[in-house]
Amino acid sequence: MNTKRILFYLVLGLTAFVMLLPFIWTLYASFVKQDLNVDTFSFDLAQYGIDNFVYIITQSHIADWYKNSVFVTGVITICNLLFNSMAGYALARVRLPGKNIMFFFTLGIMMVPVQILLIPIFVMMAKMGWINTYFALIVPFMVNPFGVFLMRQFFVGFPSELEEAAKMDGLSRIAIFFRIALPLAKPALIAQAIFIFVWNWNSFPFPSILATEPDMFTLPVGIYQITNTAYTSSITKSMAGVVLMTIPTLIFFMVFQKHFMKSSINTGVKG
Amino acid sequence: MQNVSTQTRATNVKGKRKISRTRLKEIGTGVFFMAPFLLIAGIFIFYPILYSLQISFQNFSYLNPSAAEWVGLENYRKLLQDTTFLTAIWNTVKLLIIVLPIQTIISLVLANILNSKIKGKSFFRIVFYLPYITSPIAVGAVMVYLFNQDGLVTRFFTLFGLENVAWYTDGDYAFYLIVLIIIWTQIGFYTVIYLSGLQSIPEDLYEAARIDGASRLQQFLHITVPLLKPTTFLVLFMGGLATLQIFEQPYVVSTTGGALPGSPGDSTLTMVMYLYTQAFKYFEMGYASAAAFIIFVMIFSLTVLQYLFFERKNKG
Repeated sequence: MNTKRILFYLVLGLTAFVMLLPFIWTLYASFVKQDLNVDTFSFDLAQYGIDNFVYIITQSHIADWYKNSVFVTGVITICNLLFNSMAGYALARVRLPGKNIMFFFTLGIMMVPVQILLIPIFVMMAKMGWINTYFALIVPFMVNPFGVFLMRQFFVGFPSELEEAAKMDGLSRIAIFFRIALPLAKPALIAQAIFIFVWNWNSFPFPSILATEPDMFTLPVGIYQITNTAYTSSITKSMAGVVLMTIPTLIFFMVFQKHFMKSSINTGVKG
Repeated sequence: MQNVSTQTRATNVKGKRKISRTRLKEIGTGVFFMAPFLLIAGIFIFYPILYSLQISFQNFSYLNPSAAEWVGLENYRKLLQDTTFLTAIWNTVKLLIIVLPIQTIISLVLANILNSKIKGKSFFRIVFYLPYITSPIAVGAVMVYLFNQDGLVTRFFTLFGLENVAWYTDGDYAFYLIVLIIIWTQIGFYTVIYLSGLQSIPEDLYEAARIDGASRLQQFLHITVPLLKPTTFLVLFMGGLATLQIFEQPYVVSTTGGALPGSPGDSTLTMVMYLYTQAFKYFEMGYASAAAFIIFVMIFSLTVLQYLFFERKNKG
């Protein structure tokens, strides 16, 4: 009995070590001053410092990329929360002709792999002259069929007594939605916010074609430039960039980690 | 009962005008709620699919879209004879065949261990989940250096007879580096999915089995595994879709130091990488659209299959 317990902890501990190693190593490497020393651990404290961070912050556009990523992801998340919830609510609650068709439309585009949209969206944005603008980075991503589906499922399974009561009191549908339904839907909203934020914060293929000027890059595009082009060609400086980019996601994850697990189960098992 | 319904009918007749006006208002509200989603999804998801189909039949250059010529099925014909594209499909399928069973079994085992009486459950869950939410671009960049010549992990693997090479520069090593990265990224997610599946298995089933003298292994094989079948299907489907669409990690790994995407050779070239490179490196957009459509049909059919499978499950 006891040996099994030990074996269990051994497996879990080993897996945890494998999962954490790249994070720990990246943090370590980002403080190593010289690329030459990155593979040999040393107790000589003179080898370590914040030079890489200083270099990345002063010599690259990382401040711009941060600003762009925060702004773009923020606006996208807010728009998604609003628009997806409105549509999901209508699909669940409002008597509307053609509702079934709209629901099938939502399910249908949910199954579309985003990669097929790369070329047409790029061409459309180029035609409109939106390349290297916030419009291109934000507008096509303001709604998400997964979010609509999630909100619809939430409202379908949620008792409507409170809303009915409010209706009796003469509140309009729109007022009911914003003042009663939306506040009650907080768990679904959090689940939605989480996956929309993470997807868009980490998104690479679209921003990499829609922003070509260094000051319009988002963080993933900028970090890719740092790590994969000759312009720094330094392991330790690259790792400093990676650390700066990853910290917000990790903080976001730590704050919401309970909801993360739930939302992956919601979007997974029920979706 | 009879009384009530006649009463409602009476009011209905009396207030007919009023009711139709509220009905109209209801429809107006519904349209207002649906409009932003339908509009944006229509323009940026639905229309682009049709547009992409159109481009795939053309000799299309984005620099001069109006000069696009119709070439019929030429792009598709060329694609199916393009050995690079076929290699990309084969690499992706190979990834699928290798990654799926490994990551499914590891997630199943981890979830079962986490579901037993263990301390620090939530710590392990958080740690296992971390790679999944980390940017694939960052992950790719870090892994390149961990698996560099003299890199930490490369040196570890030399203990098992592997060579001290930079993994991204050698065909076989590079391919398995991608395999390892995908598995490392995904297993935490599928472990969480399995955990939720496990929690839906009633405890008394195990109790009954214990009374009948079944060992832990027998319980696992005869209760856990069969009852988790829907979850396993889900994990296989989702894992399949994610692997078919894999792009960022092999892209970062193969282009390290400015090398061509998919290098060395075409050993790490995936389907989506091929599409991305053709469209945005060589600007062969008609040709790339044809590739996109073939990929689309493959992925879409798998998704529809998954949907039908779970719909049937939910109904029956």
